[in-house]
Amino acid sequence: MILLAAFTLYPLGRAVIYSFQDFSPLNPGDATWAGISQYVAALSDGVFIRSALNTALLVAICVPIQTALAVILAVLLNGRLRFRAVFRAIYFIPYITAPVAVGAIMVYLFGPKGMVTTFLHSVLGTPDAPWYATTPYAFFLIAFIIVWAQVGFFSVIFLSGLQAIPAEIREAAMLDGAGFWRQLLSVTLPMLRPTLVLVLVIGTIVTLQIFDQPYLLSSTGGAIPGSPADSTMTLVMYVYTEAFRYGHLGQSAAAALLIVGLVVLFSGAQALIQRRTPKPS
Amino acid sequence: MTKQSVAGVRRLGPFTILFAGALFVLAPYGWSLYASFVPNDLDLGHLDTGIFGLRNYSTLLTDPNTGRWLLNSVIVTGCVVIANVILNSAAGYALARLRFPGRSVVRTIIIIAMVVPPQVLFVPLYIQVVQLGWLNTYAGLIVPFLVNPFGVFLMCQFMVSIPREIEEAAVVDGVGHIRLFFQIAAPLSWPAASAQAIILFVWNWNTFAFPSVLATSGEMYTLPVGLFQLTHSTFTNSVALSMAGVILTTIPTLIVYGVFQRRFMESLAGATKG
Repeated sequence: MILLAAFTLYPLGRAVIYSFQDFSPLNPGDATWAGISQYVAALSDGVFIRSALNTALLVAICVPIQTALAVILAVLLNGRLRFRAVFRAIYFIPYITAPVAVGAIMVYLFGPKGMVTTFLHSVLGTPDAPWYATTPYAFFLIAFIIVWAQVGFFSVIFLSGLQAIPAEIREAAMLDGAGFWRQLLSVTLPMLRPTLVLVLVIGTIVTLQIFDQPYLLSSTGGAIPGSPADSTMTLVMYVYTEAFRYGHLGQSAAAALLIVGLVVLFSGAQALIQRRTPKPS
Repeated sequence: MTKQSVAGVRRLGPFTILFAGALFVLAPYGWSLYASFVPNDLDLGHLDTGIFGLRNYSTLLTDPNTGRWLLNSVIVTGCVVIANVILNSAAGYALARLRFPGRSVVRTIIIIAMVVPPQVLFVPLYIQVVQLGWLNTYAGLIVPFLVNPFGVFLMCQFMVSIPREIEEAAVVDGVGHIRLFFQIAAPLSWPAASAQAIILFVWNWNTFAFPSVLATSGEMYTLPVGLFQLTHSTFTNSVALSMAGVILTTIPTLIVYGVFQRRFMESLAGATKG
């Protein structure tokens, strides 16, 4: 019996040890313990403030757009349609592509003499210069990539939410003479509310933690991450560069914990909202 | 307009929108695929399929660096995924079925670990790996990621849903917990475990931030880290070469995704519902 318990406990013990080990250097008394001075240093750093603002702006731009697009896609994909599975599969591809690969493609498309750069220059009159090195276009480019990569993922979540709506409800609405739009507004969207909350929260948390895309794009050609002029610096990039570019480990850890605080706040808000949302039965 | 043609338009509308969207999604890949076959960057400006060739791919695959990166990615991702499936399942089983002291503590730890964003671990994990002397080793790239709290949580949820009666029958037959796990719980939870394996594969194959910190010497790069260096160091003179790298990095996830698509979707939808 003891042997059995030990054996089943063993992997679990390892899991616990790892989770402890990962956290331990952050604990008081360890290398990072310096009172609140690291927090003060981070909070009074203009770059940190800038990165917080950028991240907030990214959330404010990307989350509504990607959520709206994902709902539209999901509703379209939920209809009777030829090649439905093919479309669903295609929309999902960007999500499973390595951010590094996406970044590399976009760098060239939006780069000097890049196809998209040239095209947009002639059509919209945007500057004929690499987007990732021009303010404010670098920022919009990153917002675009985030939305482009994540819409498919969120539409799959919406799709499963849509399919959970009982067919009877829809049929009842149809019998009552509700057209497509009427059904969408009065039946589908209200029933999707729990999914909507979930997607908004996940989207916010994921965007709050965005790192790969802005880091890769802004450091193209050996530029300082966050360039041009910190306009693409995000919170997690700040944590990363403070630690591994400038060697400010303590300050980086303090900034990291501030992000945790933010994320916990959002998770808490989600729990609250979900508790208040009446469960459709 | 007849009723039929109205219905036809109704159906055609969504199709057109979806088709246009799909083109929009695929276009960058199309371009990168095209560029990867063009041997010389100077020819990228004009379409000429006559100059297509596999030179970029052969350059990459015969280059000792890229070959090494590919190998590293395969080793690291393979180890992490296999270990995760086994350890997450076992831990999930223990949490779901066994009564042992400290069980609620373990549960709390796993939930905390799920909520904490991984980026917080940049510094502590880096310090720890350095202290262990694991910088630029496989151990450093693999061991910290062997167990995934999210995975444990999902497996635990799944194991809880297995009817107890099945196990009780086995217990009556005098079967212990190890055999219970391997002969009953593990096979029954295989759908959940394999779905998890696919997600973990994609995540780990694509991951950039942590390996870029933990592998600082060229020979220990994983494919994404290597690709990043490739697009940077050769930025001005080999677009085509790095596009071949992009395609090489993307193909494995596409294959895994294509083969297991249905299960992947289900598990993602299930996972996010929590």
